[in-house]
Amino acid sequence: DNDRKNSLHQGGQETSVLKPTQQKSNKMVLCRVLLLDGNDFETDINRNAEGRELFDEVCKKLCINEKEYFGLTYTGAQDVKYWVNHDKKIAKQVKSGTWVFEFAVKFYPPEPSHLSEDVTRYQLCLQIRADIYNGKLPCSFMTHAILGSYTVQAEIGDYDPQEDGPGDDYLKAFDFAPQQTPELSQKIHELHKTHKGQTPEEAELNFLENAKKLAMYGVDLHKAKDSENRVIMLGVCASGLQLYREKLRINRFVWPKIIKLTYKRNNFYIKLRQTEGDQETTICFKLDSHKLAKRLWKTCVEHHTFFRLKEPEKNSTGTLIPRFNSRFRYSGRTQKQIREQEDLMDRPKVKVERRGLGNSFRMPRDAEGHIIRPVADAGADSYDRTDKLAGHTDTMSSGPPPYSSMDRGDKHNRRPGETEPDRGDMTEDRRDKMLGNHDKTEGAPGEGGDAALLEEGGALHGAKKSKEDKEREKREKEEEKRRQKEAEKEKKRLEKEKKKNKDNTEDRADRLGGEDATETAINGTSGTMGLDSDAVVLGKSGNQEGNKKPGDGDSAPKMGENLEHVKHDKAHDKHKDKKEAKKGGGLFGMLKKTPSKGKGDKAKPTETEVNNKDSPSRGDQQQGGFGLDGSHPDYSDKSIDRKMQFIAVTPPSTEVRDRQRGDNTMPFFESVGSTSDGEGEGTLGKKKPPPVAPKKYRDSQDDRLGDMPPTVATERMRYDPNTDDQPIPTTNVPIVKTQTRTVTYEKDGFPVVIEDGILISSQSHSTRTQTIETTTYKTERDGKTETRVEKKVVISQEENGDDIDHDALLAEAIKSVTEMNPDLSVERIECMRQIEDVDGGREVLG
Amino acid sequence: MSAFNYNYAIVSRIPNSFKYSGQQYSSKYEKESEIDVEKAREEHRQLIETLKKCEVRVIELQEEEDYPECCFVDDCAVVIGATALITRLGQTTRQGEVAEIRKVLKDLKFRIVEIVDPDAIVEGGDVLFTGKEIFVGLGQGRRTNERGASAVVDAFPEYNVTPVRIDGQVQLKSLVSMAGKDIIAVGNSQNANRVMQQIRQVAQYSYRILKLDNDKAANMLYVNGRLIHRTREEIGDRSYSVLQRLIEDGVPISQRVLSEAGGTIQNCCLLCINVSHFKHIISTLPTTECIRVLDEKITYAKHKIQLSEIEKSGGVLSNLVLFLKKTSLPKEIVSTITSRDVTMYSEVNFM
Repeated sequence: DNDRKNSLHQGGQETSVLKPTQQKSNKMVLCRVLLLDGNDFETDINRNAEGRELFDEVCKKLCINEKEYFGLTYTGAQDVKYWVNHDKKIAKQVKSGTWVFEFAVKFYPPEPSHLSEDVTRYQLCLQIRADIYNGKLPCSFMTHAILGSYTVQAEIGDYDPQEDGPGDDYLKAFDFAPQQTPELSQKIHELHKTHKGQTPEEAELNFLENAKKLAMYGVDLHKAKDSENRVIMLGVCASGLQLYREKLRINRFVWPKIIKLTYKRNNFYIKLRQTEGDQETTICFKLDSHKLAKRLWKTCVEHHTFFRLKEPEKNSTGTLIPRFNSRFRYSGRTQKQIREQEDLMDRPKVKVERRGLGNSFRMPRDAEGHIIRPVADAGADSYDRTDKLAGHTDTMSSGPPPYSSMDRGDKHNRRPGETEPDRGDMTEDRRDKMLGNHDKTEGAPGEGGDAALLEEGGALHGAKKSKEDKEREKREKEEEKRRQKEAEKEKKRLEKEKKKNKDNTEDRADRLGGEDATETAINGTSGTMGLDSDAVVLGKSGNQEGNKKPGDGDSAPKMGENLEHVKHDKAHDKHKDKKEAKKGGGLFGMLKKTPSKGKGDKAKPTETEVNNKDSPSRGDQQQGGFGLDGSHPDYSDKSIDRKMQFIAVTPPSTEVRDRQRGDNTMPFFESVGSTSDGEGEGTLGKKKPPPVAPKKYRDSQDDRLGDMPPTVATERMRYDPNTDDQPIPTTNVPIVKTQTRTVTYEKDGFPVVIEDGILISSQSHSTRTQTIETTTYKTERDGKTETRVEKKVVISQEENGDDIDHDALLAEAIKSVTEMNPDLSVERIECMRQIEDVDGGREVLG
Repeated sequence: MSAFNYNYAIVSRIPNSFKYSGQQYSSKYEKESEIDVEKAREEHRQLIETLKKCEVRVIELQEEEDYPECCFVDDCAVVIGATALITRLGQTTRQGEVAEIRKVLKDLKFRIVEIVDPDAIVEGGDVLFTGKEIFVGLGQGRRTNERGASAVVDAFPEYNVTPVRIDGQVQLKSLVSMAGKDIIAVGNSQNANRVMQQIRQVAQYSYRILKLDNDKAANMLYVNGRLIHRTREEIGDRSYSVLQRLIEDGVPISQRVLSEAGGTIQNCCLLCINVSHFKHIISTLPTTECIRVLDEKITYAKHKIQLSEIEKSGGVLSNLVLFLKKTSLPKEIVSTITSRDVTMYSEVNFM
């Protein structure tokens, strides 16, 4: 498998490398990447290269296999750092200035010991040291001392009085804390002495074991204001969103609780699942700018996908023409996938090149690896370390000018030009502006809008659409005109039909240009439905990635809808919409909504694209969901879905364009609308019913995706523990373990006789998720005839066993047995659960 | 380093002026009669005896007549690991109490953190450290406030600090307290339920809830694997009978388990094995897991302390002692966070 993956991966890279050649210019650009150890890495890269190319090169240089934990950042306006999107050209993200990036940890593993390689842990250590040093990770004195002592142990080994001197002078080269006092050095020195004998790897693991318990470990803070205009901080972390006010953690939203994440202009919305007593609510946060809202949203989407999902949402693939719109989603492997795959990897242990390797010789590197940035761009560094660093560098053989990693964290030099990391943002902005304008504004956005529309319905569709859009745009324009006309007619019809199809109506509205967020909101809600099923984030209809996750659940239904849509689209967009709406319920609505948004805003399309991407992944995720799960096993379904999407996409795109022109509103906007919730839910409910889960395999647009062989179904199962309540720690070795739990219930005093009896009948009935075997025996004992019916229900999930609600299925099975045979008494119920490959419930009736 | 392991306990003797104390709580706890200081002292002595059996060194402070409530030392500081936050009490008449505590903690080489914010109020009784995170009870009036909670964050930045609203004049720890690792004991008053609901919503980690009949019963001390709680007479018989039934039902209380806890149990007087509370553990764990939990519980040594006199002043068990763990060279952060805690996404935090 590994080999295969590798080859796939390479293949992917090659293709990506080829792309630039198609570009007009092949100019090479000098990139500087600030590494966590304070060195910087320079390389020439094609001007048209995508983010992934550079990132892969850096990872290669650092010998990192588990690279999804990391990312590259660049500094934008106001010293805000943005993550480089791997799927987009660097040039489009970093608009101007020199190409300076920082290599940083993007996803902090909650359990660092789960990382498979020491190299990865080493990089994580470096990041955390930087975080501590620059105050991102606040600690008390003793914690600083503890962590510092492990750092020293890892870097220079055992304390040697002869070499290190009697006091703590040897620690002067290290930077531990924002405020470093002699007292701290003294304490670190004392503690260092107690670590004698620990290897660098052990010391680093100890370091991480402590660091992971810190309250702010892995929390990515974003400044925002709540509905009452109070300043708060939103923290995105592995488990969900944290809300801080004045450093107090005032609330917490775990991923399962969040149905949908959206952003609209500079607002960021979280829609929360209904809990006991509480109604479904949408919480709004204001950020300083639209870009920051999008940045937050993207962070959330990525964290959700990475930590919570089994695999990323599918990427819509097959675009021959580079897309103008942003289609953001997380495209790498998820944590589960990394762990599964890396566990299988038999890579020889990579020797970590610490500056101060081994026990005896110490390198002068800063504890944090902070180095002053030589680059003017880097100029952001405000740290004083330079002096110290300089000193270090002298000592160090490696010697490159040190960058302060911390600085990176805090400030990046932005190029003035870099308008935005994501085109999507741009598009959004446009949309906003566009709102007023309908038809004309959109050029590029139009496509996006189309995509967006599709996306709303099903992200998948959207993605496909987006790709296709460009090509088809020309064709479609004509079609669009027709469609528009049709759409208008349809709108009228829809209005009549409103009750049936809310979505359709929305679409109409969009076309009309009068449409609003509310409509979109509805669409969004449908997305959320999906979320409900799985707990992921949602579905913003057009808008966002957030939708993707939630969408997973949704997507499945949507997929179905999408298919329908596609057909319809062919016939007529308007008609399609209506039909879709009816069929898909939520999906349709979603799609339609998005389109309308698209009309409004060009920018929206990008979002939609994102959604689309997300949506595919959702499909995968959905597998976890009930309906989805069932469907997942069937690949054929998936393929169909895709086809459907494709078809749908083109037509919608045309429509979308028209609409988009008309409506400036972005798809996300729509989704954002709070109103959407109620409707959306309804749609969701509708959507849910369609059990056909549109699981899709990824076509693996991304190399990484490609890496994953579709065959790995069993591996996916492993993830389950994370997803649900199963107490089995994921820490377990990747090797599949089989757990069997048997619970037997026997009626008191009733002798169980299983073997004897005459077999009367035996039948077996199987569906996707369960197999029911009914066996009837007749026994004669003491003159009485006893009929024993043995019913065996095997509930199994092939791929995404995790998502399946075993308990529900089991309960259902038991219930069915009980109800079906009122005359029989239940003698024994046996439940057996095999976690790795099969989950099953068996019931025996007597 | 596990929380709840301590090697020092600070207590303060009861002054004669104690009988005039409890003004602030008078609304909540109606004085049936005047406080009998001698009786209160007797109870306090018993507590100290019990503490000595819990493998902690007891530091007994001289009473100060100027501070009628100086025996409630827990209000004066929050100590986690090597850091001690000297609190600022809401009642200005009590604020001098912290001086003595500060001195002792300094002598013990704790890192003293003072509250800088002049408007901050924190009372130790409102700060509940679960071993993984901190909950701070915020009240109205001259009670622990939000800025006080911020001071707690500043002192203990490695822990999540979550504010919890409390109605009425009670302290957080008189409503909920730790009954063991990851076990939160909670009373049954409206107030306690409301607090529990908040904790449930925002807690970062999973806990088991031990639901008890009344708030008094929920007030206990968990120290070095032992549980100190109020006497049966004070907390009611109900749990007792439940306990009896539990044992009869065959909850596996094996002699082996008891002896494993061995040394410690025998060292202290094991007044009873009171399993009754655990019947109320809310748990969705598989059966085996449950049993394991029960076993854990049973190994606790339990101590019953009568505090009826002291209580009249409004103080509770947890107010009376300030536990410390003095370690000069800690190897890890004080925390009970485990690998499981950080890898689990639980929306429902309580099992």
